[in-house]
Amino acid sequence: MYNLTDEQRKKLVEIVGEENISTEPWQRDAYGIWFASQPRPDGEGVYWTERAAAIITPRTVEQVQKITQYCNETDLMIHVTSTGQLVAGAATFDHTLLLDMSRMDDIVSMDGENMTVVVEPFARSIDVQMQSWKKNCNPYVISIGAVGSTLAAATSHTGYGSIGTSCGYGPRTLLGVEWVMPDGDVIRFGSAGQGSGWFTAAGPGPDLLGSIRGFNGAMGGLGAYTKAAIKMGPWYGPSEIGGDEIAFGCKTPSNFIKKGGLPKNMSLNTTIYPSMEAMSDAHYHMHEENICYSGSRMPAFVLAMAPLKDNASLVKEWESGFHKKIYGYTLSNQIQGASQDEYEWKQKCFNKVVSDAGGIRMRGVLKMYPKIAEDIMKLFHAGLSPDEYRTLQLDIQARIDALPVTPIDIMAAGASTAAALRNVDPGLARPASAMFTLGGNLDTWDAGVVQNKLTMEIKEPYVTKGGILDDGVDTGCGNPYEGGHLGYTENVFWVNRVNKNGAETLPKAIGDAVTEIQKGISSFTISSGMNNERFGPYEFDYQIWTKRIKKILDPNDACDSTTYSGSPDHKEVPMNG
Amino acid sequence: MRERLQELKYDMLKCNRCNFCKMAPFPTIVSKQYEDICPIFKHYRMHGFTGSGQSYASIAILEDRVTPDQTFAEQQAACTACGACTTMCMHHTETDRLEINMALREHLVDEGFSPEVHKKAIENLKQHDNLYGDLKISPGAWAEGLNLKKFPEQKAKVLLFAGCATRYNAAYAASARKFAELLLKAGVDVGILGDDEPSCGLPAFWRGYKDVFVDKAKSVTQQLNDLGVDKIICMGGSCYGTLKARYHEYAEKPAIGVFHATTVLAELIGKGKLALTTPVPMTVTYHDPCYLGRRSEFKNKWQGEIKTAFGQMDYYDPPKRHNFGTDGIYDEPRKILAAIPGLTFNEMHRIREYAWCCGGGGGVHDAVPEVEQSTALNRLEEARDVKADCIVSACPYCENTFSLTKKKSDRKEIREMQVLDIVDLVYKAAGLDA
Repeated sequence: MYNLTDEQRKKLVEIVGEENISTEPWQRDAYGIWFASQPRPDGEGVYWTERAAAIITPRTVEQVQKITQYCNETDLMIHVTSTGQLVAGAATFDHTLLLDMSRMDDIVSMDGENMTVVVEPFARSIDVQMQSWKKNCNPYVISIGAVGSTLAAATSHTGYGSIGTSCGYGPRTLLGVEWVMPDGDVIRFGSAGQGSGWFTAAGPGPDLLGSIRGFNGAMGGLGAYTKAAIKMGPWYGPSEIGGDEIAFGCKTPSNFIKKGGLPKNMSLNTTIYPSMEAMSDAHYHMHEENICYSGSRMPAFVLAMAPLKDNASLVKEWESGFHKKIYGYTLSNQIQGASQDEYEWKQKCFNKVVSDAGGIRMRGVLKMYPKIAEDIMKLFHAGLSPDEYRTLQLDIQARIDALPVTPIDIMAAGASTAAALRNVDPGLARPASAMFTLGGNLDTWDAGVVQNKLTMEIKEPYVTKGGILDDGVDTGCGNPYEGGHLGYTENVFWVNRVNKNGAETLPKAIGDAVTEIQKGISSFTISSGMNNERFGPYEFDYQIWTKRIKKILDPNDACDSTTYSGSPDHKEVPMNG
Repeated sequence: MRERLQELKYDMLKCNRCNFCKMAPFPTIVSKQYEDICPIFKHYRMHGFTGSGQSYASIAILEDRVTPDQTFAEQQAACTACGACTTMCMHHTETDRLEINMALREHLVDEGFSPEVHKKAIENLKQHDNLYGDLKISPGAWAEGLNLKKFPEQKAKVLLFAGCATRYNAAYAASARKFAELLLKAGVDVGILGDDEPSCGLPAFWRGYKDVFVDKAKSVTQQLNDLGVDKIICMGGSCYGTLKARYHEYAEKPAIGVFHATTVLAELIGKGKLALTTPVPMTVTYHDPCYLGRRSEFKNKWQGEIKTAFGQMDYYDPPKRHNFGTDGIYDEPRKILAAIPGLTFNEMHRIREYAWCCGGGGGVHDAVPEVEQSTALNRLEEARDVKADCIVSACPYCENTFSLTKKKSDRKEIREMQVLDIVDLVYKAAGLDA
């Protein structure tokens, strides 16, 4: 544990002011636990990250620069966090000044015509959406929810978001960055570096995109990004919520009532399929045809959990087996049309894709219609001949289409739409206090599906032994991006922070992911800085390159870079093979 | 109190730093300026002050990483105890975050650490039964001339409990007088405790003085139970939330039904016993007080077993009744405002269980006034941005906070904004405001 000297503290106070620095131990420890902190084997808690030497909330790029320059002169380091959900929100060395960028939260500019926005680190996705919807644009929202930083989603880490279908994959939406480099210089790269506006990250100024984030992002460990320009996607919905079209009340705890129907050019579709293959094909075709605004494969366990308020209800629901049998392979897709004609064409096309894949378009709460539920179980599980299957499929769909629209339908559509557009977290960590990702991939959608199967093989034995929550094992989430040429999957799992079995299982399961990598399919989510030496040799030796970049850009070790380049000693590992 | 903190460690560890305790629910957010729900985070912008950060700080104490001290206590006192973090977190982790914040505050007091102004306030409470000291005003002075029945010498079916924050402030005392007049006009058999009316003890709860609060809760409950009344009507939202919810949580609730003035007025108006016929041509908004809203929700003392299913999933058996904040008093004030002729009512963005705090709770008023002011200003701006000329509430703490703070605004229209108790409007509409 390190405490700032009086001289160090005085210097930092001169830079940011007394009100923007805390050296109180309790405040520093408040940053010492994060989303995926590992449970301790004693079952009494989690491992703490290092206690930062100070928490600092700078207000300007000049302040960030001066702090960074000071770190170059001393043995202090900066580590940067914005909204702070991931490990970026914690220090990994005790000499670290944790820069909490919460006071730098401006949307600097927004260009609706060219669909770009320039943001500071703590501008949350919800902030951007509130403005961008008025300009018919929408930013990528990472799955942690619109509480997350738009800048960080593009510059510093990775993760899926259902509107990536039409708004692009977050890291690929970056058009330029203002960067306080590890040595304290401030540069803007891409076109912004030439003073030509924030329209491209590649020239005529310096193109350092690969250096600042690579695939996984530096997660706050390589200088500070104080502004970023982001490319947005289109938005065909209403300009704001609260009107007659999309309006949400707050009388119910976990859902949001939609007062009116969805706008006529929007729909939210939940579709179910008999197999992974049928679901995957349908999802691919939907995106290949560019008919979906958002898309997400929803695991049955998540679907069971989302509308419920507590674990006691979830136990009952999951034990019934209803969700496993009906919703084993489910997609959630939003459709929007730039015009009514376009919407109707997209919806028609969507319906055909679902039908051709053997799927069913759902509506409302299926338990209210037990005969339909019974017939769906027969459809999916009775081993019908192709003709029998098709006949029953069409019959079920016709009956569902003829159901009256109930208030529950409207509420469900409202809640699901909110979730799709803003990634409202339905309490994802609630089942067991900590959620992790065992394997994930950004490649093609089909590769993601294969990856999910491999991850299930790793996960299943631990589920059987009770070390990982029995969520049905298949919890691969994700969706195709950008017209279907990219696909993202992520297999989530839950471990209880106060369960010894879970604490012992977690490192073993993560370790087993090496097997997955050795099978030749890259897995990014376990490849953050702390695991570089372990996984880098199987992933093109990326760890060598991040260390080299770190060494060149940060010769004075002014950045706490564990989340980027791994261990701080600059030791290079020989090329593997 | 370390034991209580230890009992809550399980809940502390459920926090996965999702950050939702800082913000209103997404679908309700319409403006960046009004998206926050945690006043202390909006002011300081550091994670440690949030419901999540307070949980981690508490774990640090329990694991002997942090030693409580006076500085910690003074900074921790900036939480307004509004409970918005609980409302948000309940959806995500089934956890009452504010319960942890308060247990931490109580632990700090137990260790001897509390802001000096809090210590002084508690001394005043013990000696003078109010926060302020020797005020040279008798507790029953607010009702002089009304000829209300006085317990225990006289009997009535209903007790009007004015509350110390109401009766010692001329403006709110006037509102209480108006409320009494409205009750009499509607034929309610109402009496008061006069000089025997105690403080409900909320100031002790807010400041983390658990023992003082528990003693107060017990003595007040005994006093109220002995009156033989059918119901207790609280003038203030703060007293209402305390008598209804906090007494039960910490000691024992009164055996008599506890109601708030707005519930009674809405009922009297609905039944035609109070006719609102005089137009009140104003554009108003309504501020939901925390202690009339989410913090008045009855909290069950759960008894049962934490079981594990599917290897890793803990659940409560029998299920806990969670406090989502939805059972507060929200509809009645709005029904009253809707019944006032000529009145235009505009809702703010953060309402009901997701209402933004006024900033005046939790002992922040005396310990960290800058947090109170920034919080109240944000609410006043929200009121003005929905084009209200007047912010109406139903709690003297909220109204006092707004009245004091509006003077500090840079915006003329906020400085000129009226702050009224909902009773004042009903009084006008009933044609009693000469």
